[in-house]
Amino acid sequence: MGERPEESADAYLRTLRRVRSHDRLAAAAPPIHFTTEAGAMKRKAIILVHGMGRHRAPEKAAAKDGQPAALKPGAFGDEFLAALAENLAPFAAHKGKTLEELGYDLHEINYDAWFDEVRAALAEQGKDMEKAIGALGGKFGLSVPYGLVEKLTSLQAGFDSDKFFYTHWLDVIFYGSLLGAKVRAVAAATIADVVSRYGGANVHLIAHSLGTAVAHDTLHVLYKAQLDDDMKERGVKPLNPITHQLASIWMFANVSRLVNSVTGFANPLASIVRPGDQGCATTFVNVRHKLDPFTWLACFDPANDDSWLPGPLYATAYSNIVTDLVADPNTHSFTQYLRDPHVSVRLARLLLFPKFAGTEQEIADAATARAKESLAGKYAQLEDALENAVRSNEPAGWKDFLVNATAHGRAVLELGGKFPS
Amino acid sequence: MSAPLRLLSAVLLVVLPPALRARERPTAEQPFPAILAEAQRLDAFAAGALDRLRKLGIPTREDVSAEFPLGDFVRFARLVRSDAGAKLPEREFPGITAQLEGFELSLAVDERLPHPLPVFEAVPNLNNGAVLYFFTDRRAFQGEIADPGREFDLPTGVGVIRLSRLDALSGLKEAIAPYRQALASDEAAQARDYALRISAEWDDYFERARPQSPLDILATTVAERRHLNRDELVGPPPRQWFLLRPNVVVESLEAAPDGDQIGGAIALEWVGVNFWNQKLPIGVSLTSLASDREGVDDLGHGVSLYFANKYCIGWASHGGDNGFYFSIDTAKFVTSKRGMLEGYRARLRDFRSTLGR
Repeated sequence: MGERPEESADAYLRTLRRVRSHDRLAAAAPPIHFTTEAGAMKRKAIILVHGMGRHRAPEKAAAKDGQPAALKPGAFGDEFLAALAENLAPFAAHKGKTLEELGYDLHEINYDAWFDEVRAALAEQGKDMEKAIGALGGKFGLSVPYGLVEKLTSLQAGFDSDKFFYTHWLDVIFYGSLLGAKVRAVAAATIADVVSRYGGANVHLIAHSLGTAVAHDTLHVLYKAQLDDDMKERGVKPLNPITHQLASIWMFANVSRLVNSVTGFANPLASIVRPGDQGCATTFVNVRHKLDPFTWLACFDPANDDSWLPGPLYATAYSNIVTDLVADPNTHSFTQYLRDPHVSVRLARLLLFPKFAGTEQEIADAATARAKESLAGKYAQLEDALENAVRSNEPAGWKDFLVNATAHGRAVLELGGKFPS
Repeated sequence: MSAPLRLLSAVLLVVLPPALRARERPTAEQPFPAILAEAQRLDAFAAGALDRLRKLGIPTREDVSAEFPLGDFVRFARLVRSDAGAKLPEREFPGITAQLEGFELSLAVDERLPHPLPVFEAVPNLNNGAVLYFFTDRRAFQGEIADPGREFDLPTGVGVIRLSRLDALSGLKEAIAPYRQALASDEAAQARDYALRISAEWDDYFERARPQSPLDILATTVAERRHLNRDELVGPPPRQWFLLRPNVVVESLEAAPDGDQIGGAIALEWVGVNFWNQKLPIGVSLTSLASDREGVDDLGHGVSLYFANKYCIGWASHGGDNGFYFSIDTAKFVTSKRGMLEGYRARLRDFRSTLGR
């Protein structure tokens, strides 16, 4: 083995230090564990990419017993770990096992912390401009109407608001802007680093909601089967889809096509992000909820007609799971997705392969228990409310997207109060 | 054991290639020790070559390739074909022969270092619980077994081992995987460093270029879409665009009455562009000014020029009366220094006292 993982990690950290300190994204990238050369390749990694909304970034925990400082999982990591523990509980052979005991390290790509900083900086900029204009106007007795200027600055000054638009939709708008390119660069560095230290075949990537677009777009620019002469000349260094093929990609509430329909960046049905020898992953799993309107718009649902994958690959390397479990009125929730045994058993089967030891009886019991949670009437109630609120046509642009998604949010909130907890 | 025999066995251990040494000890845990040993030898060789080359700079694929003896990789693939082919019968593993031949073909594409470097995989088919096995670059040849737990007799040359089909596939996967570990790891580390470099270029953009409002960010996104949507990791665009950008400026209007010629004005850049990353960063904007001077039109229209991503000078015509103005980009000032407002006021005071007002 060439560069030992410890050396590689040191080099990586040195490089990170050269990157500006405000770069929270990159700072989130250092691994939880530095292991020995042999151990590093025996351990496996899960990379998580969160969706829109507030997500606390992973933080460094204090070093102890001479061990390097680990990272405490961020909000999305915590959600995933809790759901995984719950999903493994029905299986006697795996119950109570931590991710670490299962041989996995967790890595998170967190772009929300940086987006929050950008929001705060823009708000501060707007507020200071407001003050400067006010002060200058007073000083020189300006009385000319400058309503437009006032509107522009006050709009910007509100960017640090806690309102849903600023904490959620703005993430989508930010990602669709040039800020997205920076997010992709840091996400690519994280993925390439993890692949370098664990080997692509030991890396699983799990993304949710807006994170599916981030993951898709990043993989699309990071993996190249070949470089053209111009790229070679400019020193572009990609990952190779065969040499660095990921073990699996899991897309929950996949909005990559929706975001692509607006930004025009990388069509998910024509990109390298697919399973097989023409793609960058061995296995690709797409999970959507029947009643998650985010997945109704520009739904990621490639047909089995050889246009996306050859038939045999479509049947073996691709899984499309459509869940209808309604345990929570928020059908877009990541944890709700993970609670469906159709999802959780497949995830456990793949992550623990070849050592998954759940019996058929345990799997059946888990399904029965979950079915009980999805109380009768919830599904129909939610379905009616959503169909009334949301148009299921393809979005014509940001306006349609926002109108549909806001209607979904409202429907969910209204229903939330009526649902028995 | 006598001393000469001990010496002979020690010499043999050192001299014999690992493949030959290991060939005699297949176990249920690792049924392909010869393949594993050769894969580890290739990996150790690659690691050594990379270590040497890194002292001279970032190793290129051509540099690394030149280090390998001719045909090293294809010899490895032949060993895989012969050893695994003899141990994994086609009746138990449909398609395995074609897969092993395909691997040999894949590694024969370059007589030194082939590209890409596939591995053998055995993974669950999540749709039906069966197990798939294949080399990662030739999925058309993939095989599938529905009963991976079924046992069979694996011949070893010194007897047979009884083990499950799944264990045999896992053993082959583990034996082959190390052969390109160092090479794959190094390439991925280079991809990581490249991505970090692009990320650092963005940091430079946010630190050095003119600060942008949300509208400016969107305008730049739309105007530079071709750059930003390229099918690769991209750094910041060479141009920044500005749209409806407010600013505060100090304007000199000769046509205004004495004592009222120097004053503040609010500027609005309707549209502007800034070449932020030139040796001397320069930008230009179409700008209107609103001021309040006796005898002069309140509104003026003209252009402003930006230098070094912060200093602005401009001209505006107030109904034919020329106004000249300057500004230190307020937002830039705010971003870089706290208490900007006070600083700005002080500068205005200084400016006015200099002019004797």
